Amino acid sequence: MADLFANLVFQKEDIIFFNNGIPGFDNYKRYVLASVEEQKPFEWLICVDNKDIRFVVINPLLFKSDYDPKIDKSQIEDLEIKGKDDLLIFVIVTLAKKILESTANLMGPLFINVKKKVGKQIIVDDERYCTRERIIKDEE
Amino acid sequence: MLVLTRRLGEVIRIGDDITITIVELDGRNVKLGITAPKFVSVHREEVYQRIQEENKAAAQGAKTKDINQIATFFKDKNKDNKQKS
Repeated sequence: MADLFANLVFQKEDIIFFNNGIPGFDNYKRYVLASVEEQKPFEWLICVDNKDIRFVVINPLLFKSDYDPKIDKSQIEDLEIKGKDDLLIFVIVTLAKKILESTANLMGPLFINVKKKVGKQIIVDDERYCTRERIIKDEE
Repeated sequence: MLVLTRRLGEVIRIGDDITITIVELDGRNVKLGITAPKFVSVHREEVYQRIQEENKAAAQGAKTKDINQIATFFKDKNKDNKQKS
């Protein structure tokens, strides 16, 4: 399969800094958000320093409209979010062999301050949410 | 691994900015109080491990799988829902 992002072009201003990295990829801190029209609403978070490191992401409200993780203010203080417009929330998608059975990690949402260009994976201590939530339920 | 023995109420300091206090001892459970700067994350290890594993699985799949089918399905589903309502 040809690399979708072989020719990814981005501006320095597009870079989002994950100052703590992302668990499992702690040393990789610079990412950009990219999307391909045919693949929306799925988007990509791609590591600028190693394009092999990339995640499919999606806005969790699109498939779980009541997603409302309990988050302590201290967990996101360093993101300096001033208002709702600053904040983008995504969850990382784990693609399954049968692609329609793919899941999203509701226990580790990505919080991104789009104004300050900083992001963080927040680990949510909330029994309602797991790391593998089906994006498309069987009944659908 | 550095192993220290502490009693109830005693504290361990890590670096200049992190402390761990034995807050409560209750049979097999130890309650720990942790102070750390905001940029240092603190998590139960097994929870952190689960997140780490899932991230690695997600990154692996993202390299090799094609998401067009699920994107199309998703868009069609939402079109249907809009038409129904």
